[in-house]
Amino acid sequence: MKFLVVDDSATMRRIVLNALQRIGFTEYIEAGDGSEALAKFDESVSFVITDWNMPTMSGTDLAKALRARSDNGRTVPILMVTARSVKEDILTAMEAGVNNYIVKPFTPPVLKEKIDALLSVPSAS
Amino acid sequence: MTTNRALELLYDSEATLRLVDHELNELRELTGADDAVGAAEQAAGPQALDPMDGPIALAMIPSVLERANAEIVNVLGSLRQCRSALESATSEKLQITHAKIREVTSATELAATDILDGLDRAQSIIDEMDAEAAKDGEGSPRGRELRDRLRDEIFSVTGCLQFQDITTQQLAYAGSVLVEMEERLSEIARLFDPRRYGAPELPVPSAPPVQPTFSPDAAYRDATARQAMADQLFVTPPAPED
Repeated sequence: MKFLVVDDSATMRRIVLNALQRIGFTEYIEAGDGSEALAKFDESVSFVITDWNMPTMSGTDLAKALRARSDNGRTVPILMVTARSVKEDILTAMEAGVNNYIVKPFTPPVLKEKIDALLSVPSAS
Repeated sequence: MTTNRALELLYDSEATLRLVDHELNELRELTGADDAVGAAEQAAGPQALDPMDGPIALAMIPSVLERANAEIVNVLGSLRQCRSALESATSEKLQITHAKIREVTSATELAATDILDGLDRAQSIIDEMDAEAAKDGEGSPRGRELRDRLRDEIFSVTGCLQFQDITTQQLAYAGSVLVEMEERLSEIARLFDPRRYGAPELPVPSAPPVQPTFSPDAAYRDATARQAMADQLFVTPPAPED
Protein backbone atom coordinates (compact mmCIF):
# COMPACT_ATOMS: atom_id res chain seq x y z
CA MET A 1 0.00 0.00 0.00
CA LYS A 2 1.51 3.30 -1.11
CA PHE A 3 0.88 6.49 0.86
CA LEU A 4 1.15 10.02 -0.49
CA VAL A 5 2.23 12.30 2.38
CA VAL A 6 1.71 16.00 1.69
CA ASP A 7 3.00 18.74 4.01
CA ASP A 8 5.03 21.89 3.44
CA SER A 9 6.94 21.20 6.65
CA ALA A 10 9.77 18.72 6.07
CA THR A 11 9.77 18.04 9.82
CA MET A 12 6.10 17.09 9.77
CA ARG A 13 6.59 14.84 6.73
CA ARG A 14 9.35 12.99 8.55
CA ILE A 15 7.22 12.65 11.67
CA VAL A 16 4.26 11.28 9.68
CA LEU A 17 6.49 8.90 7.72
CA ASN A 18 8.14 7.77 10.95
CA ALA A 19 4.71 7.07 12.43
CA LEU A 20 3.64 5.20 9.29
CA GLN A 21 6.72 3.00 9.45
CA ARG A 22 6.08 2.40 13.10
CA ILE A 23 2.59 1.08 12.41
CA GLY A 24 3.75 -1.05 9.53
CA PHE A 25 3.45 1.01 6.33
CA THR A 26 6.71 1.43 4.51
CA GLU A 27 5.79 2.49 0.99
CA TYR A 28 5.25 6.16 0.43
CA ILE A 29 5.95 9.23 -1.67
CA GLU A 30 6.16 12.82 -0.42
CA ALA A 31 5.02 16.21 -1.67
CA GLY A 32 5.56 19.72 -0.31
CA ASP A 33 2.19 21.14 -1.37
CA GLY A 34 -1.06 20.30 -3.13
CA SER A 35 0.12 20.97 -6.65
CA GLU A 36 3.20 18.79 -6.24
CA ALA A 37 0.96 16.08 -4.78
CA LEU A 38 -1.37 16.27 -7.77
CA ALA A 39 1.60 15.92 -10.12
CA LYS A 40 2.84 12.87 -8.23
CA PHE A 41 -0.53 11.23 -7.74
CA ASP A 42 -1.19 8.15 -9.86
CA GLU A 43 -2.93 4.78 -9.78
CA SER A 44 -0.30 3.38 -7.43
CA VAL A 45 -1.29 5.72 -4.59
CA SER A 46 -3.71 4.04 -2.18
CA PHE A 47 -3.94 6.60 0.59
CA VAL A 48 -3.40 10.37 0.90
CA ILE A 49 -2.37 12.10 4.11
CA THR A 50 -2.34 15.84 3.70
CA ASP A 51 -1.79 19.04 5.65
CA TRP A 52 -4.23 21.93 5.11
CA ASN A 53 -2.22 25.16 4.97
CA MET A 54 0.39 24.94 2.25
CA PRO A 55 1.75 27.31 -0.39
CA THR A 56 0.51 27.11 -3.99
CA MET A 57 -2.29 24.63 -3.27
CA SER A 58 -3.94 23.86 0.07
CA GLY A 59 -5.01 20.47 1.35
CA THR A 60 -8.70 21.20 0.78
CA ASP A 61 -8.00 22.28 -2.81
CA LEU A 62 -6.01 19.10 -3.27
CA ALA A 63 -8.94 17.05 -1.98
CA LYS A 64 -11.34 18.81 -4.36
CA ALA A 65 -8.96 18.28 -7.28
CA LEU A 66 -8.57 14.60 -6.50
CA ARG A 67 -12.31 14.10 -6.16
CA ALA A 68 -12.82 15.75 -9.54
CA ARG A 69 -10.60 13.20 -11.28
CA SER A 70 -11.90 10.16 -13.08
CA ASP A 71 -9.16 7.80 -11.82
CA ASN A 72 -8.60 6.54 -8.27
CA GLY A 73 -8.41 10.14 -7.06
CA ARG A 74 -12.20 10.00 -6.94
CA THR A 75 -12.19 7.30 -4.26
CA VAL A 76 -8.77 7.31 -2.61
CA PRO A 77 -9.01 7.80 1.18
CA ILE A 78 -7.90 11.29 2.16
CA LEU A 79 -6.84 11.93 5.74
CA MET A 80 -6.19 15.52 6.73
CA VAL A 81 -3.57 16.20 9.43
CA THR A 82 -3.70 19.85 10.38
CA ALA A 83 -3.45 22.38 13.20
CA ARG A 84 -6.80 23.86 12.16
CA SER A 85 -9.43 22.71 14.57
CA VAL A 86 -12.43 25.02 14.60
CA LYS A 87 -15.75 23.46 13.67
CA GLU A 88 -16.17 25.46 10.46
CA ASP A 89 -12.77 24.32 9.22
CA ILE A 90 -13.58 20.69 9.89
CA LEU A 91 -16.87 21.01 8.01
CA THR A 92 -15.08 22.73 5.12
CA ALA A 93 -12.65 19.82 4.93
CA MET A 94 -15.54 17.36 4.86
CA GLU A 95 -17.20 19.26 2.04
CA ALA A 96 -13.92 19.24 0.10
CA GLY A 97 -13.91 15.45 0.13
CA VAL A 98 -11.68 14.69 3.11
CA ASN A 99 -12.61 11.35 4.70
CA ASN A 100 -11.19 11.89 8.16
CA TYR A 101 -9.38 14.47 10.18
CA ILE A 102 -6.48 14.51 12.64
CA VAL A 103 -5.64 17.56 14.74
CA LYS A 104 -1.95 18.30 15.28
CA PRO A 105 -0.15 17.36 17.41
CA PHE A 106 -1.21 13.77 16.85
CA THR A 107 -0.10 10.48 18.32
CA PRO A 108 0.62 7.31 16.30
CA PRO A 109 -2.32 5.44 17.84
CA VAL A 110 -4.68 8.12 16.52
CA LEU A 111 -3.05 7.92 13.08
CA LYS A 112 -3.36 4.14 13.09
CA GLU A 113 -6.99 4.29 14.22
CA LYS A 114 -7.92 6.66 11.38
CA ILE A 115 -6.03 4.71 8.74
CA ASP A 116 -7.53 1.40 9.88
CA ALA A 117 -11.01 2.89 9.91
CA LEU A 118 -10.67 4.29 6.39
CA LEU A 119 -9.14 1.12 5.01
CA SER A 120 -11.97 -0.95 6.41
CA VAL A 121 -14.47 1.10 4.42
CA PRO A 122 -14.88 -0.37 0.90
CA SER A 123 -15.43 2.95 -0.85
CA ALA A 124 -13.78 5.97 0.69
CA SER A 125 -15.78 8.65 -1.01
CA MET B 1 10.68 57.30 19.59
CA THR B 2 8.27 55.23 21.63
CA THR B 3 4.60 54.68 20.99
CA ASN B 4 3.82 56.63 24.18
CA ARG B 5 5.81 59.59 22.90
CA ALA B 6 3.92 59.41 19.60
CA LEU B 7 0.64 59.39 21.50
CA GLU B 8 1.74 62.40 23.55
CA LEU B 9 2.60 64.24 20.36
CA LEU B 10 -0.75 63.39 18.85
CA TYR B 11 -2.43 64.63 22.03
CA ASP B 12 -0.40 67.85 21.88
CA SER B 13 -1.26 68.23 18.22
CA GLU B 14 -4.93 67.87 18.97
CA ALA B 15 -4.70 70.46 21.76
CA THR B 16 -2.89 72.85 19.45
CA LEU B 17 -5.48 72.34 16.74
CA ARG B 18 -8.15 73.19 19.28
CA LEU B 19 -6.32 76.44 20.01
CA VAL B 20 -6.16 77.21 16.29
CA ASP B 21 -9.84 76.45 16.02
CA HIS B 22 -10.53 78.78 18.94
CA GLU B 23 -8.48 81.57 17.34
CA LEU B 24 -10.25 81.13 14.03
CA ASN B 25 -13.62 81.30 15.78
CA GLU B 26 -12.54 84.55 17.39
CA LEU B 27 -11.48 85.84 14.01
CA ARG B 28 -14.81 84.88 12.49
CA GLU B 29 -16.68 86.60 15.30
CA LEU B 30 -14.56 89.72 14.93
CA THR B 31 -15.44 90.01 11.28
CA GLY B 32 -19.10 89.09 11.92
CA ALA B 33 -21.94 91.59 11.71
CA ASP B 34 -23.79 91.61 15.03
CA ASP B 35 -21.47 90.56 17.79
CA ALA B 36 -18.15 91.57 16.27
CA VAL B 37 -17.36 94.02 19.00
CA GLY B 38 -18.18 91.62 21.81
CA ALA B 39 -15.89 88.99 20.30
CA ALA B 40 -13.12 91.52 19.87
CA GLU B 41 -13.52 92.39 23.53
CA GLN B 42 -13.22 88.75 24.43
CA ALA B 43 -10.15 88.36 22.22
CA ALA B 44 -8.60 91.46 23.73
CA GLY B 45 -8.91 90.05 27.23
CA PRO B 46 -8.38 92.58 29.98
CA GLN B 47 -7.97 95.43 27.48
CA ALA B 48 -11.61 96.37 27.16
CA LEU B 49 -12.79 97.83 23.91
CA ASP B 50 -15.27 100.53 23.35
CA PRO B 51 -18.37 98.67 22.14
CA MET B 52 -18.73 101.16 19.38
CA ASP B 53 -15.09 101.05 18.25
CA GLY B 54 -15.28 98.74 15.17
CA PRO B 55 -12.04 99.92 13.55
CA ILE B 56 -10.07 98.95 16.68
CA ALA B 57 -11.48 95.38 16.53
CA LEU B 58 -10.51 95.14 12.87
CA ALA B 59 -7.06 96.36 13.77
CA MET B 60 -6.65 93.29 15.98
CA ILE B 61 -7.01 90.87 13.03
CA PRO B 62 -3.30 90.88 12.12
CA SER B 63 -2.27 89.98 15.68
CA VAL B 64 -4.87 87.21 15.83
CA LEU B 65 -3.62 85.89 12.51
CA GLU B 66 -0.08 86.02 13.80
CA ARG B 67 -1.05 83.96 16.85
CA ALA B 68 -2.91 81.47 14.65
CA ASN B 69 0.12 81.18 12.42
CA ALA B 70 2.34 80.45 15.43
CA GLU B 71 -0.03 77.71 16.53
CA ILE B 72 -0.07 76.23 13.03
CA VAL B 73 3.73 76.17 13.00
CA ASN B 74 3.61 74.32 16.31
CA VAL B 75 1.16 71.82 14.87
CA LEU B 76 3.36 71.23 11.86
CA GLY B 77 6.31 70.60 14.15
CA SER B 78 4.30 68.05 16.10
CA LEU B 79 3.09 66.40 12.92
CA ARG B 80 6.68 66.07 11.72
CA GLN B 81 7.58 64.37 14.98
CA CYS B 82 4.55 62.09 14.71
CA ARG B 83 5.50 61.13 11.22
CA SER B 84 9.06 60.48 12.30
CA ALA B 85 7.77 58.25 15.12
CA LEU B 86 5.53 56.33 12.73
CA GLU B 87 8.35 55.99 10.23
CA SER B 88 10.64 54.68 12.92
CA ALA B 89 8.04 52.17 14.13
CA THR B 90 7.23 51.04 10.59
CA SER B 91 10.61 50.89 8.98
CA GLU B 92 12.71 49.83 11.93
CA LYS B 93 10.99 48.26 14.92
CA LEU B 94 8.34 46.23 13.08
CA GLN B 95 10.67 45.06 10.34
CA ILE B 96 13.33 44.08 12.86
CA THR B 97 10.72 42.16 14.85
CA HIS B 98 9.54 40.48 11.66
CA ALA B 99 13.10 39.49 10.80
CA LYS B 100 13.56 38.07 14.31
CA ILE B 101 10.43 35.97 13.90
CA ARG B 102 11.76 34.57 10.61
CA GLU B 103 15.07 33.87 12.32
CA VAL B 104 13.40 31.95 15.15
CA THR B 105 11.32 29.97 12.64
CA SER B 106 14.39 29.05 10.66
CA ALA B 107 16.37 28.16 13.80
CA THR B 108 13.66 25.86 15.17
CA GLU B 109 13.36 24.16 11.78
CA LEU B 110 17.10 23.51 11.63
CA ALA B 111 17.13 22.31 15.23
CA ALA B 112 14.16 20.00 14.61
CA THR B 113 15.91 18.55 11.56
CA ASP B 114 19.11 17.98 13.57
CA ILE B 115 17.14 16.32 16.37
CA LEU B 116 15.33 14.05 13.88
CA ASP B 117 18.68 13.12 12.33
CA GLY B 118 20.04 12.33 15.78
CA LEU B 119 17.01 10.22 16.62
CA ASP B 120 17.39 8.31 13.35
CA ARG B 121 21.03 7.59 14.23
CA ALA B 122 20.00 6.46 17.72
CA GLN B 123 17.40 4.20 16.12
CA SER B 124 20.10 2.69 13.88
CA ILE B 125 22.27 2.02 16.92
CA ILE B 126 19.43 0.14 18.59
CA ASP B 127 18.99 -1.89 15.41
CA GLU B 128 22.72 -2.70 15.55
CA MET B 129 22.33 -3.73 19.17
CA ASP B 130 19.51 -6.03 18.11
CA ALA B 131 21.74 -7.52 15.43
CA GLU B 132 24.61 -7.99 17.86
CA ALA B 133 22.33 -9.66 20.39
CA ALA B 134 20.97 -11.97 17.69
CA LYS B 135 24.49 -13.24 17.00
CA ASP B 136 24.44 -14.83 20.44
CA GLY B 137 21.21 -16.64 19.88
CA GLU B 138 18.06 -15.17 21.40
CA GLY B 139 19.96 -12.65 23.51
CA SER B 140 18.92 -11.50 26.93
CA PRO B 141 15.16 -10.93 27.35
CA ARG B 142 15.96 -7.99 29.61
CA GLY B 143 18.25 -6.50 26.94
CA ARG B 144 15.53 -6.85 24.33
CA GLU B 145 12.98 -5.23 26.65
CA LEU B 146 15.30 -2.30 27.32
CA ARG B 147 15.96 -1.78 23.62
CA ASP B 148 12.24 -1.82 22.91
CA ARG B 149 11.63 0.73 25.63
CA LEU B 150 14.39 2.89 24.23
CA ARG B 151 12.75 2.64 20.80
CA ASP B 152 9.44 3.75 22.30
CA GLU B 153 11.10 6.72 23.98
CA ILE B 154 12.81 7.76 20.76
CA PHE B 155 9.56 7.47 18.91
CA SER B 156 7.81 9.54 21.54
CA VAL B 157 10.42 12.30 21.25
CA THR B 158 9.98 12.24 17.46
CA GLY B 159 6.27 12.93 17.91
CA CYS B 160 7.01 15.82 20.27
CA LEU B 161 8.84 17.56 17.43
CA GLN B 162 5.45 18.47 16.01
CA PHE B 163 5.87 21.49 18.26
CA GLN B 164 8.13 22.91 15.52
CA ASP B 165 5.36 22.92 12.92
CA ILE B 166 2.83 24.34 15.39
CA THR B 167 5.09 27.12 16.67
CA THR B 168 6.07 27.93 13.09
CA GLN B 169 2.39 28.48 12.31
CA GLN B 170 1.95 30.60 15.43
CA LEU B 171 4.97 32.70 14.47
CA ALA B 172 3.72 33.02 10.89
CA TYR B 173 0.43 34.31 12.25
CA ALA B 174 2.25 36.83 14.46
CA GLY B 175 4.29 37.85 11.40
CA SER B 176 1.15 38.42 9.36
CA VAL B 177 -0.21 40.69 12.12
CA LEU B 178 3.02 42.68 12.03
CA VAL B 179 2.74 43.06 8.26
CA GLU B 180 -0.79 44.37 8.69
CA MET B 181 0.39 46.83 11.36
CA GLU B 182 3.18 48.00 9.05
CA GLU B 183 0.68 48.68 6.30
CA ARG B 184 -1.68 50.59 8.55
CA LEU B 185 1.06 52.68 10.12
CA SER B 186 2.38 53.45 6.64
CA GLU B 187 -1.08 54.59 5.61
CA ILE B 188 -1.28 56.90 8.62
CA ALA B 189 2.19 58.28 7.94
CA ARG B 190 1.23 58.94 4.30
CA LEU B 191 -1.59 61.17 5.54
CA PHE B 192 1.12 63.61 6.55
CA ASP B 193 2.36 63.68 2.94
CA PRO B 194 6.11 63.51 3.37
CA ARG B 195 6.74 65.44 0.16
CA ARG B 196 5.28 68.50 1.84
CA TYR B 197 8.19 68.48 4.25
CA GLY B 198 10.79 67.43 1.73
CA ALA B 199 11.25 64.10 3.50
CA PRO B 200 11.87 60.80 1.70
CA GLU B 201 8.99 58.42 1.08
CA LEU B 202 8.40 55.64 3.58
CA PRO B 203 9.77 52.24 2.62
CA VAL B 204 7.29 49.87 1.05
CA PRO B 205 6.15 47.37 3.69
CA SER B 206 7.08 43.75 3.21
CA ALA B 207 4.45 41.95 1.15
CA PRO B 208 2.26 39.38 2.92
CA PRO B 209 2.26 35.84 1.57
CA VAL B 210 -0.17 35.20 -1.26
CA GLN B 211 -1.78 32.30 0.56
CA PRO B 212 -1.41 31.93 4.32
CA THR B 213 0.46 28.77 5.22
CA PHE B 214 -0.51 28.88 8.86
CA SER B 215 -3.50 28.30 11.05
CA PRO B 216 -4.32 31.18 13.42
CA ASP B 217 -5.64 28.68 15.97
CA ALA B 218 -2.65 26.34 15.87
CA ALA B 219 -1.92 25.13 19.40
CA TYR B 220 0.10 22.45 21.08
CA ARG B 221 -2.21 22.02 24.05
CA ASP B 222 -5.67 20.44 24.27
CA ALA B 223 -5.19 18.40 21.11
CA THR B 224 -7.24 15.58 22.61
CA ALA B 225 -10.31 17.76 23.11
CA ARG B 226 -10.00 19.25 19.63
CA GLN B 227 -9.55 15.78 18.14
CA ALA B 228 -12.69 14.63 19.95
CA MET B 229 -14.66 17.47 18.37
CA ALA B 230 -13.37 16.55 14.90
CA ASP B 231 -14.25 12.89 15.49
CA GLN B 232 -17.73 13.84 16.61
CA LEU B 233 -18.31 15.91 13.48
CA PHE B 234 -17.16 13.07 11.22
CA VAL B 235 -19.33 10.55 13.05
CA THR B 236 -22.45 12.72 13.10
CA PRO B 237 -22.13 15.61 10.64
CA PRO B 238 -24.60 18.45 11.24
CA ALA B 239 -27.67 18.38 9.03
CA PRO B 240 -27.45 20.80 6.10
CA GLU B 241 -29.38 24.04 6.65
CA ASP B 242 -32.25 24.84 4.30
